[in-house]
Amino acid sequence: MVLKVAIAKAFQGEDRLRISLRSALSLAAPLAVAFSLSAPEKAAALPSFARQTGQTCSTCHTAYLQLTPFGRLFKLNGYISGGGGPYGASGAQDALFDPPLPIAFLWQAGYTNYNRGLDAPTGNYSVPSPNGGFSGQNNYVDLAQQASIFYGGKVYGNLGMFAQLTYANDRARVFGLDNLDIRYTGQFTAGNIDVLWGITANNNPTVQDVWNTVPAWQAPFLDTPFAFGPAAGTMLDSLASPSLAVGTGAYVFINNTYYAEMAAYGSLTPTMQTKLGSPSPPDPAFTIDGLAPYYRLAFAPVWGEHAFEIGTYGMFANILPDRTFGVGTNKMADVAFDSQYQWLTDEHAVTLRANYIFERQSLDATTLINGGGNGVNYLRNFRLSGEYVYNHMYSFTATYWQLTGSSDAVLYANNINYSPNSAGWVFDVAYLPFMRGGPKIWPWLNTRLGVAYSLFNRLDGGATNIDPINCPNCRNAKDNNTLFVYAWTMW
Amino acid sequence: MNRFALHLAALAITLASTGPLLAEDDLPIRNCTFCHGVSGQGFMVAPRIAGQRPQYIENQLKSFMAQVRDNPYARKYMHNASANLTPNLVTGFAQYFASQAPRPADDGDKNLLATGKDIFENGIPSQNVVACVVCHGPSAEGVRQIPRLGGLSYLYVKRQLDQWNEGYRQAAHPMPKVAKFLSPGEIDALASYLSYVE
Amino acid sequence: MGTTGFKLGVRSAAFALALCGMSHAADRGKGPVSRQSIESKIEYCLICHGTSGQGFRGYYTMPRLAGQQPQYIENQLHAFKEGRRLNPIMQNVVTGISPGMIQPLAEYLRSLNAAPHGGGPTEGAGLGKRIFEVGLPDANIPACAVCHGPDARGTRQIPRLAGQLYWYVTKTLTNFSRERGQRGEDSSGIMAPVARNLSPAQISAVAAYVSSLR
Repeated sequence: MVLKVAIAKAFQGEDRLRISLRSALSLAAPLAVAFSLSAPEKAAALPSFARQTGQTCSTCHTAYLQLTPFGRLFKLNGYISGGGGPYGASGAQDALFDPPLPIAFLWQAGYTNYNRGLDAPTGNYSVPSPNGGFSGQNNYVDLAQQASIFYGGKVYGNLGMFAQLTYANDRARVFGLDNLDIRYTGQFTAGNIDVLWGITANNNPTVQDVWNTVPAWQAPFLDTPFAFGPAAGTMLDSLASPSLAVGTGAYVFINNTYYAEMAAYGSLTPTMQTKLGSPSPPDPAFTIDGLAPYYRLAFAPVWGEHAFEIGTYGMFANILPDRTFGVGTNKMADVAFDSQYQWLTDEHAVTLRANYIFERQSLDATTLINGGGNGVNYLRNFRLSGEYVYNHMYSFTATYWQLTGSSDAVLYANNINYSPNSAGWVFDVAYLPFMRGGPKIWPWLNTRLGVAYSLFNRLDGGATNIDPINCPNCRNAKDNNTLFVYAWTMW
Repeated sequence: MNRFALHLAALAITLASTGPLLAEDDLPIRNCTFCHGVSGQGFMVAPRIAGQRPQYIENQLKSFMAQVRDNPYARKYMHNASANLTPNLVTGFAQYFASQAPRPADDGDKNLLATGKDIFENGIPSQNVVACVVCHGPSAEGVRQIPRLGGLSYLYVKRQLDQWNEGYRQAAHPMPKVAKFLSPGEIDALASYLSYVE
Repeated sequence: MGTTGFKLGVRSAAFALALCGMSHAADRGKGPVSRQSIESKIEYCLICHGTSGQGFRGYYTMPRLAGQQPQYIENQLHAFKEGRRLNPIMQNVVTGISPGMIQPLAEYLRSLNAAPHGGGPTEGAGLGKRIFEVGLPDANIPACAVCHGPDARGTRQIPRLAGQLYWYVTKTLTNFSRERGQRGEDSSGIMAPVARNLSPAQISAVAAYVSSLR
């Protein structure tokens, strides 16, 4: 019943960029396609959660966005737990909002520097975004990379919501719906079994997940809007972006250890997506035909200051590539395995994450459209990440990612060796002065000031000559190495 | 947009019909359970509170509120969590969690069971270690304001005993003096034993 | 301030005395007992019997030792040691008390002057006072005061009852033979029949009365 209501049959929608299949159709597409313009906007450590619970950000986050086990339980409880207002031990006596308003704000600014300018040496590269104001050199300052308003917290009773409205330069300067997760939850105990259950309606697969291994919430938590990335991407990675697919699911968390979830996702119509604030036209690459089932299982024991998780999740979809009708569908099967370990004390916080997405693409529709290419392709996205946070204040993260898959002379015609293979590192160092509470006048202020460096070992098929069609022998993977300095403030 | 609104409305109606939206409006236990676990069996460093003596729970909540209980995790989590408790909530939470059936953590070192049991029941008179049983009872079930220890997690009990020796929770008479005479190995044994007590 | 100072003075003096006793004990060839080990043992005793020896109510009730007659304490410790008085906890405890410690411990405990623990019921204290002072001749119960003294502070081997915990007194008087059951050398010959003749209400009354005495 719920499922039926929340997801319309065969939503028809258009989507955004970043993606594999589309690039095959437009061989002459500029490098712009490769920019991960759809890097999911992420946000958490919501100050409104802090007001509602009376806790500081450090209760639920090591260094945001990374969740602690308490943060995961808060989310699985549907954002309704309270105990704060007016107002925790360190809180200001602010009688203006009683109960505390579940509203929070985000503002991000960044400076981007490429290892080698996009116009070097031939100058024939197009700028990454028509709205970005990219100078054509290799520096870019964006003082309002993203600004968001959140509703985060209890709505009524056992109903809670995380809703984000975002204005972003990389989102076509449209003010629209970003992440959305509405939950209704309950709990009961039967004998020796504790059950926390919930239903969620959300607007991108894995945004409802509580482990920071999944595409919607994985490291790096913040990237430049002009980040390079591989042209190819798995369906799960690509759909983990606002409103490309909407869905609803039900989950149980048993004895605070075993997690199981079933959900179904469908695509919205292009009109609907535009109304919700997607760039126009929205990217149609992964338009779901009908409903796509999604599952999630995890075993997540905790002991003392340690938390572990090992799990699997996946999604199976019939895809109308670029919303093309009459040619049948591609059958996509994504199966992912993930694991996370945390050691958390008051002083040290170590988080190790691993994620592996295996995708089988049965490209009946695409091969028909293109008149060629492989009938079946595989993509494998492997990601390892380690984070250390000292005293809830200094965060150090290293992430290694690797995308490998079948070579396809049609699909990856732009790539060297017709291969999607890419790999790289992202290092992030950040200073978070207010995880234990902000200044007296506004204790819920939080800020993350950081420097990130993205290093590409391979991109779109190789380490050298990575854009053989548009710019033969002029660009190597490491030219795309990117320095990104950012300020990320929430209040 | 109309269609979307329609779906939302339908969803809301469905949710409303699945059960009361306000399931626990009188006692917001999920303010507690998002750290202590669904039935308060403990989670991470948050100790089990299920089956704890209600008077003990009340006393602890009050000492968090007054910021008297000063061990690091109490300061980090509980001072904030308790800051706005009303007397009714204190009593309500205490009664509610005391009534939940406790389950043992079973996370100690099994090789230390015999040693731990011996210390618990007999103390170590030659080292001035008192027998825990005289206050906490034969099954470590506690009484009145004296807490139930049986089945608490090894790590929690060990941390408390260690922290008394590090100078925290000095107001919790007589435990600082009890812990003072315990060696690290004996603390290990006691905490291990207690984690298995039903 | 003055009072506290005075109390402290008395206590230190008593402690000094106790240590003299200790050295006497050492002289008697029971092996040397260091000042530090006596201090630790006192700390150990008071963990259970209350910071100032006023008694403590845990799962079991630990009796008040403050102001107790040293001779009584010594007798009991010996009784535990020799298995005449049966109590698993205390029989264990005395294995850690060397003979040389007993006298200084007893002296120290006598010097303590804690306020009564309190907390027990007070109903029947009037009846308790009457039983304590004049007894119940009809029931063949002598006045407690005859042996325990008019102020219930005891003398020599006869224990102080003043300020003793209500629960401890009731427990001891209920089924005295099993609670104490010492053979021969102690006063059970007197106390066992007296306790047997007391009704539960009368026991409670006596306990309520003596537990309130300073």
